[in-house]
Amino acid sequence: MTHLAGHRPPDVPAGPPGAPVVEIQDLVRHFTSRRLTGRGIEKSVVRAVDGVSLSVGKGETFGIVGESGCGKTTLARIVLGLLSPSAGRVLVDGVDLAAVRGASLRSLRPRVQAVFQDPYSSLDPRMRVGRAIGEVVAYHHRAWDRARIRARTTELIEMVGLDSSKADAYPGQLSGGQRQRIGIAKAFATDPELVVADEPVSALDVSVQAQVINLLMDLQAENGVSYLVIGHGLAAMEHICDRIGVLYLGKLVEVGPASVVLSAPRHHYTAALVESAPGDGRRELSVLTGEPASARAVPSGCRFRTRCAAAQARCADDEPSLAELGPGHSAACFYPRLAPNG
Amino acid sequence: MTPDPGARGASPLLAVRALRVSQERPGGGRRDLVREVSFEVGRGEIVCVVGESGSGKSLSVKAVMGLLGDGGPLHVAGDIEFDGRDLPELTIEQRRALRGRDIAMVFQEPLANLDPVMRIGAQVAECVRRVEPQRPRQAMPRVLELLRHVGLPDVQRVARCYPHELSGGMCQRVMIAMALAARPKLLIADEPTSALDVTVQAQILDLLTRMRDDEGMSILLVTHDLSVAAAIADSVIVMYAGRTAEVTPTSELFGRARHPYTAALLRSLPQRGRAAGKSGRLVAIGGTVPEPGQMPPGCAFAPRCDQAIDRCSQHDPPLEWSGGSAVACWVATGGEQP
Repeated sequence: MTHLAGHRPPDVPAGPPGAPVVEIQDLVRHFTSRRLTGRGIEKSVVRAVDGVSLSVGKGETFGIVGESGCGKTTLARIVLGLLSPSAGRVLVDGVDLAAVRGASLRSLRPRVQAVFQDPYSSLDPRMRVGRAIGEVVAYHHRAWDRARIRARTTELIEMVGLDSSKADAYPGQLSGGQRQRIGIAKAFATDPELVVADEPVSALDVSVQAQVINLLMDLQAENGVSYLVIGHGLAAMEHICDRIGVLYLGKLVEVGPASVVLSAPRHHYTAALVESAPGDGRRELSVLTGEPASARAVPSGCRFRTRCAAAQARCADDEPSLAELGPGHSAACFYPRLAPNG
Repeated sequence: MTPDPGARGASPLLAVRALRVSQERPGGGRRDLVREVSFEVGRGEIVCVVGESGSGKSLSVKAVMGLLGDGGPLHVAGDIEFDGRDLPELTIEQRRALRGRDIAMVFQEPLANLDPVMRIGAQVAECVRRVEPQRPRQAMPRVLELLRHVGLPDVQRVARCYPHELSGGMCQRVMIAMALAARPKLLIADEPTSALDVTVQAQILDLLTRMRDDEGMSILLVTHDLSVAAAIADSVIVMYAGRTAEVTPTSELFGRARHPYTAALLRSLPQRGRAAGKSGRLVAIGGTVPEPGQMPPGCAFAPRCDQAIDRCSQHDPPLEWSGGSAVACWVATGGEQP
């Protein structure tokens, strides 16, 4: 296997030691939509991401969990630079993504790469996968000749656990798990510092999900890459993540070490999420009533109060902010659940 | 090879034996997409069919429903006995009369199965009027009762909505209300919660369990998620590569799975709270699920199985029944000669 750090172009300075690879500060993204109704054109604002701050350290895996519509994919797209924020900043190695243009943006972009949910729709069906990876290698290393690009491509394909002969295959000739491995090889072709993975295993067969999870963790152990993982399978998230942030209607409601957040949640929404997931052999499902409120009409005060059994009058008037309740563990709730053992 | 008749007392509501779905090949001959699928659904029982994509789980239940079409490219063989009647023997009209009355079905994508330009109330009314012919207006009380029954709030308003005005979870409740219109004996649900969020999934699973408890309805649930099966099923049918690998009571599934595929699948799942944080590598199953055209000889799981013996790659093991459970594995059954 390879040590990818050795391929980093010398003109790109590394961040200060210990500094976060990515820092997200008060990120906001609103979408305005217009709808034609009987009363004319109605404008509404979707508050997809509504003030999120987090940082991902070097070699760390930060997981974001939440239901559909909570803004997790919008957040990922902003970090990847595919969407611009309405307010707030995303700092990659201390540099604001939105503030740079041209050559400096081109040198910054390869440091953040993406692994998508469905590798079939992110690969060109009529391009051999070796060429798809080679294109990224060639773009990243402009000075390299063909033989060197080919050698690096082969190296990447073997790094993700595939036979180098697979370079000649078309995406349709590979299984879902193999395609996701190609997607991962493509992401690592630019020697990234952060890989944003949006539901990286949920489109795969159950019996190959573990293979891909192992691969992602092996690559991190070898290269010290950081991950921002978005997912909904809580057991898998607890397994791969160091820290987890729970997103509800565009805001983080709880952040902390993965095992602590999921085994001793302090926010009532996290607790409901954990209890709703059917576990092994557990038969009584705790049922949260109601649907997630819409990001078009965010409730006043605490946005979870409309579904929360512990809500009090104050929850409708004031909005709680994240407050530290334990080491590295914070929740945004006026009446948090008790910590176990006092 | 057939389920043990003495094991469950009263005759089961649905008994499927040696079901085979094959596809006509252009050059002549057939290839099997589903073979040797056998299981039973008792009255008031919730049975889950669990399998990965391509395992034949959806095809099997569609064959049971008679939805694969007659004279099409797919050929169905085997015994399907429902409530004492032999389904393949029925005429097309008789089967059609059965569907939506005694057997109802709920699909994965509720939005794709509702008419986008018809109000919810009118769609549910169609189902009600099919069972008890009456004017649309007369059907409304029953429509509202059904919508209330599946836990929808503000049913008057919901009945006037179009599908796109409701959330996915609410649409799935509407689908279940439509399926319940005829008070079916058997509800077949194909991945009913896979498109939904976990908190909404928990609500729908709770609703299905309540339907069984209150009305004694039998439910055949298809899912790829073992934890969903564990949460609500009485017994589980594990399918792999178009075959039944194992049939087992849910209580035996964890810890006492007999088929190496079931055991390996359970082992490969990340466990909540097993260890703090990054708990090392998962026990992955190597290789991939075989394609229908490239089935290995012998047992289809043998190339990925860590317990495989010589015979596994030569002869396909039969499904051996004992009591209410069954397994198709040479190693698990102690391997007497074929």
